[in-house]
Amino acid sequence: MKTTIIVSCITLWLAVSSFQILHEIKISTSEITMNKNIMQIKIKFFADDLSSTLSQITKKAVLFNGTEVDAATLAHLNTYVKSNFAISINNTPVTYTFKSSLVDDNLSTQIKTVWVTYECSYKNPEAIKTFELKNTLLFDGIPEQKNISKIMLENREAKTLTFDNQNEDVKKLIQY
Amino acid sequence: MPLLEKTQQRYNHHHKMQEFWTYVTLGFTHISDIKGYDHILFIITLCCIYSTRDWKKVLVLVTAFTIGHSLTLLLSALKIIVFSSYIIEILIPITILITSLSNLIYTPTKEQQLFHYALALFFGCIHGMGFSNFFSAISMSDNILVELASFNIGLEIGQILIVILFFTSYTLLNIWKTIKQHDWKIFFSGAGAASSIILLIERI
Repeated sequence: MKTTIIVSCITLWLAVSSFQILHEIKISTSEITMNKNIMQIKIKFFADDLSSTLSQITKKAVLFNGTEVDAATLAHLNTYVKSNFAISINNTPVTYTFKSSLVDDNLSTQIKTVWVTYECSYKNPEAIKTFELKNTLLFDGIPEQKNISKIMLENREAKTLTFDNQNEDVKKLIQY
Repeated sequence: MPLLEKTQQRYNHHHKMQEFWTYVTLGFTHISDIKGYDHILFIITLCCIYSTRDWKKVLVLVTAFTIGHSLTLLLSALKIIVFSSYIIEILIPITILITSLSNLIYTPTKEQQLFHYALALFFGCIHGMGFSNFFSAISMSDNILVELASFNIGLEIGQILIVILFFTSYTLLNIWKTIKQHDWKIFFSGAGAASSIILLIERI
């Protein structure tokens, strides 16, 4: 009898706690490339993850409809990206500007993603000694979030960095 | 070969290895993440009808599941098959439910054993599509095959570890207190069935 009660309780607990489950991959990807003097930053999010995080911050529903991010959302998104995706080259912060956005709604798989592209110019890429990236995108909204950033500077070894919300290491330094 | 070209080749090789490990780790942490335990639950419901003596059968079963999801990962990555994520997310709890229910009527005959292997292979295909859809959507790479293959290796390592941990727990618990194979099977099949029903309701 005692065993049956214990087994039933554990089973019930497993069943009830499974309300939390949605086994999606909670990641965002980004690519930083530098060719000649232009640095381009591309960031890709799952639309639902970005939507829920921005909605929490702005305290109103943020939706991604159409093929581009609308102007009102874009203002919030740019502020959000700039405070959570910071680049420093040779210990000097890099300022980047918004270039374009794309809402990619794949009708076959029914997965929607949001792309944003930023750009900046960098005068002397040969003199880059250190490259530091802080990537805490969606960390405030999604506890299991992981961000993967690929850094490809011309004539330098490409690097792939992983940022995990469960680690405290939110800044990564590359030395060339 | 010019020095610059040689250096670039070495850089590329380093980066490929680094990327490989990044995605292996991602695959491993993805499947072993206890918060999203539907895949762990599926592997456990598949294995709970066996004891440690049946390790060869478990090996065939895990291999069948692996072949299944590797196949659909590959086909989805190459865009040969495309399925709605909504349907796949509904099918995943159904696979757990069917496995749990089939466990209850399982008797170790050759026919039922073969049926169980076929089930693992087919259901592996469904789970593979789930992994692939999300992964392909977020990847930026033009050639995601290497990334997906690395991610898959991470999943495999995670799966093997789950199976080892499961049977180690069973063996250790048996040392402490004898647990009948039948009770073990009923417990995990019950947990699997209950969780999958709730998951199904939630996803519909």
